[in-house]
Amino acid sequence: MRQFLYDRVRPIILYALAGFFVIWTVAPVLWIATMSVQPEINYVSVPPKLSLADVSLRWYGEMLAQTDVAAALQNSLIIALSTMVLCLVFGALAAYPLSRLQLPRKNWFLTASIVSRMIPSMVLIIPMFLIMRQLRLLDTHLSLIIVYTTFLLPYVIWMLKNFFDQIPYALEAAARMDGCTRLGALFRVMIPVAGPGVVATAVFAFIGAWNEFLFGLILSTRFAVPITVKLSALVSSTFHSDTSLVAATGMLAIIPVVALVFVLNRYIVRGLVEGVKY
Amino acid sequence: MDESKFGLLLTLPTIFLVVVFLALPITYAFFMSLNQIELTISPDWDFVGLKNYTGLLTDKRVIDTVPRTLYFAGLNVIVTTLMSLCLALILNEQFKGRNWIRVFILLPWAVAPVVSGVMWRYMFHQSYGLINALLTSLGIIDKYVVWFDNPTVALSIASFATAWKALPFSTLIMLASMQGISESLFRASKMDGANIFHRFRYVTLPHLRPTLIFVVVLQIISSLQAFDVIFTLTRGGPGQGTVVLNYLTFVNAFERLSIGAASAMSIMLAVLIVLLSGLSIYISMGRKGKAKG
Amino acid sequence: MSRVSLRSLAKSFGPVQAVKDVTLEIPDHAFVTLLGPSGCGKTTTLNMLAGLEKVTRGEIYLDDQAVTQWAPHERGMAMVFQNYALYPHMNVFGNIAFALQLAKVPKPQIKERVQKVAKALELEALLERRISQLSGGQQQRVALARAMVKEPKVFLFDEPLSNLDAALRTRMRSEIKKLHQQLHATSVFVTHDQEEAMILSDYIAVMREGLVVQYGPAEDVYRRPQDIYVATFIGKPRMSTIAGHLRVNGQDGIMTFTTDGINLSWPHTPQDGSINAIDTDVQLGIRAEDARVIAAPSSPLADTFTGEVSLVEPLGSDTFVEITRGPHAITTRVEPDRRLKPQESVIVQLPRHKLHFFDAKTGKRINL
Repeated sequence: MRQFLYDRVRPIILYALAGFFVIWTVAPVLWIATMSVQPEINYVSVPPKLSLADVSLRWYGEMLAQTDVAAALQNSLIIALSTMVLCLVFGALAAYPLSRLQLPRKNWFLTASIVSRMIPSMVLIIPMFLIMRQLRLLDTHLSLIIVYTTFLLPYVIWMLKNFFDQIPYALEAAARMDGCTRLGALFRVMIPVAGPGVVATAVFAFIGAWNEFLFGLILSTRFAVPITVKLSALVSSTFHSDTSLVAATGMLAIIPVVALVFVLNRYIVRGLVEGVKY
Repeated sequence: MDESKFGLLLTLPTIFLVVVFLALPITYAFFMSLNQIELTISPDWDFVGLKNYTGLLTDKRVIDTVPRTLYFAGLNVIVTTLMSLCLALILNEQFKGRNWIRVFILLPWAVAPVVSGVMWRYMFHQSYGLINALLTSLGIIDKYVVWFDNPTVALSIASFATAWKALPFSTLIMLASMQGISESLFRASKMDGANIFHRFRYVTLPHLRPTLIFVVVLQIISSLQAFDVIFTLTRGGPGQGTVVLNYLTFVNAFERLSIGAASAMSIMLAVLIVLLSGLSIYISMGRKGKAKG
Repeated sequence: MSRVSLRSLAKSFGPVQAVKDVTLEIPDHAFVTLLGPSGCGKTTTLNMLAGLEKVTRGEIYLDDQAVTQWAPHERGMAMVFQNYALYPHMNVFGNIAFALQLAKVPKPQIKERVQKVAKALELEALLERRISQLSGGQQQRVALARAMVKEPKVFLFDEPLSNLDAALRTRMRSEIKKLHQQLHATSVFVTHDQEEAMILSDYIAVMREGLVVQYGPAEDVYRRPQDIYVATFIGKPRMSTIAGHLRVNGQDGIMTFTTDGINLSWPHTPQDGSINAIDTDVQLGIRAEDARVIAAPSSPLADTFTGEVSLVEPLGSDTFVEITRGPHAITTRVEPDRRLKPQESVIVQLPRHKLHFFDAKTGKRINL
């Protein structure tokens, strides 16, 4: 009898809870997605009159036609991709000796990379502004690429190191016996073998750079404004005719990363878990 | 080439970046924190020693942020920990559709904090919020409520939005930790007649303890760093209602242009976070040790 | 094919001396095994020979040429690794061809050489497969092929069999042995498994704590272990030892071994006729196949003692019996049809010429 009850009740509870979590997770996204494809009048009405007949992508079209939003998306893409590439290259170069070689003060390196992950961006933002001004890099892609790379590298190094650690030493030894130099073994064997981990790390760096806000807000003014900053400006400005436009911009800001996460979710889950292993 | 020299060479780009764009700015920030710099008045630096730090303790605006930050952090910790524990327990079960749910719940992690601020703002919006619409249609409220007029409610929403974003990551590390519990332990406890609650209480929970503490510390840290979400959600309003510690630092630096005081605050914050992070690492080291033993 | 010579090799990792002083002459065509427990420095020695680890001190010669500072691929050696270490991101062909590609061998030639090796190891049908699609035995053969295709002067094996299941291990062991009989390539094999070492090797170097304890033909190492460590490390079951006192009378050459409960004596007639008087504490060692369980003798024999059967382990082909007398125990091999029961009282004979004596203090062999 108890077993019977358990078998009957268990799926009900499981699905009810799972349903709650799915709603909790999806509702905020779904709501602005809805807003982004409906005229404002529909959801401002009490009660809201959402209608399938009114669904339109014109607010997306309108925002993309606005040069500053399109430019912000392009800026974010350039910055995030460059950050990702730099993080992978520098990260792999640094993670390899940490994982494989005898290095003087290796523990010092590892501690430093952990400590640098803890530094809140708020501490750095004022000096960074002054340094970038000194370097005449304010409002350039490069300034944001440098800052994001510096900030993400400790995470990236740590993730890559953990992935490299899982590769048997013998594999690299085999590559060297076969005629690879150490660097050759890194690029021809270690990185391809750590493939899924490298993909996860790359996505992590890309998303980290794409989603960053504070540095973007302070270090960019006109030409290098990333989409997150553009969106926050739109939200607080009253110079737009229609909230659907803001909602559409919000969607544009998350669509690339959400797509990445959905396509590569397996890698990402592993990468995230790996990133917090000390 | 000598192995260690070679290794050092490979880390040079990283060392360069970290020194120039991490160590240098921190040192810079520290020096600024020892000076009075009021850019609204003059660009001059006026050395005042530790006065900015002692000033923090008596500054009413700083003191006011403390209960707010504590409330924000407390709610965030409770919501995130309980929800991620519950979700991880569910995802650790076998049922149809589980893999789909695993993918779906990653969503908030991918969403930029700024965008999640916008999303929650629109969820609770006074004239087009989903929550108002739902509550009205259910007959719980008669007319739309201006949620963001109430500081406590606004702060709670900010906290929920932060917890919403933190859920996937905390769930994943809890799930990873749960999957480290050996199946034979469950079988043994079943043989001993333990029911599902006993198993949770005596097998799962003790195993998860370090991970739970880790999640708690992580959420405290993220609460101390809360900024992006609040920026688009409430802009600190109503009044100063959602100005938490980190947000005040921003306001001091970029609205009041009190660079010295803002630097001192940020340094204090950094010290606090480094200490807490040290704690969390210490805990997760224990986590690893446990997993091995 | 090549001679290899290691001269006073040493390797330190920080304060840890992994290899203290290793000198080995490896003749051409020989199959040499470095044998020892984990942490004895055998793998480090092999890695230094391969060029994977830098040498802290000492020299490595290949056919009288110093190669100590050469990069791994310049030494003309190939290595077969534990767990195969195949490149999981390449197919079988890619794995075998990798070294040749790196050496910029022309493509048609690569193809030809890979085909040839694949044919020899029956891998032709598998060349396009991914590594993850192969069985354990197939992976091992790919690992061998990858080494063979380079036509190396020296083959190195780093415990290639240690993670295989019992059946596969036996099969791969024979495969490696056959390979060596065909190619006659100088081979250095590292293992902690003494049985593997005995079966495969021409020469065995037993290592312990970074030093070579004994190096010689496999038969010698088994028959004349130079100290008690080698004696008890090599051979299965383990050589039985009994602590006691050994006395050799300088005049009549009577040799006696006494310990509580056991008194044995033998006539002692060395080949050269000279008798050295000995009076010292020793460990007496005897292998299971050398100690004999005999029927009650008609007249009491000086080289026997009476003991009690404490454990019977029938293996089918042989039966091993543990016999105890007071605190002492020895293991002997008996015919499987000889059915002994626990607690049964038996007489054990320890023949003079099968005995090993080791100094109780130094552990060194006492040559009589």
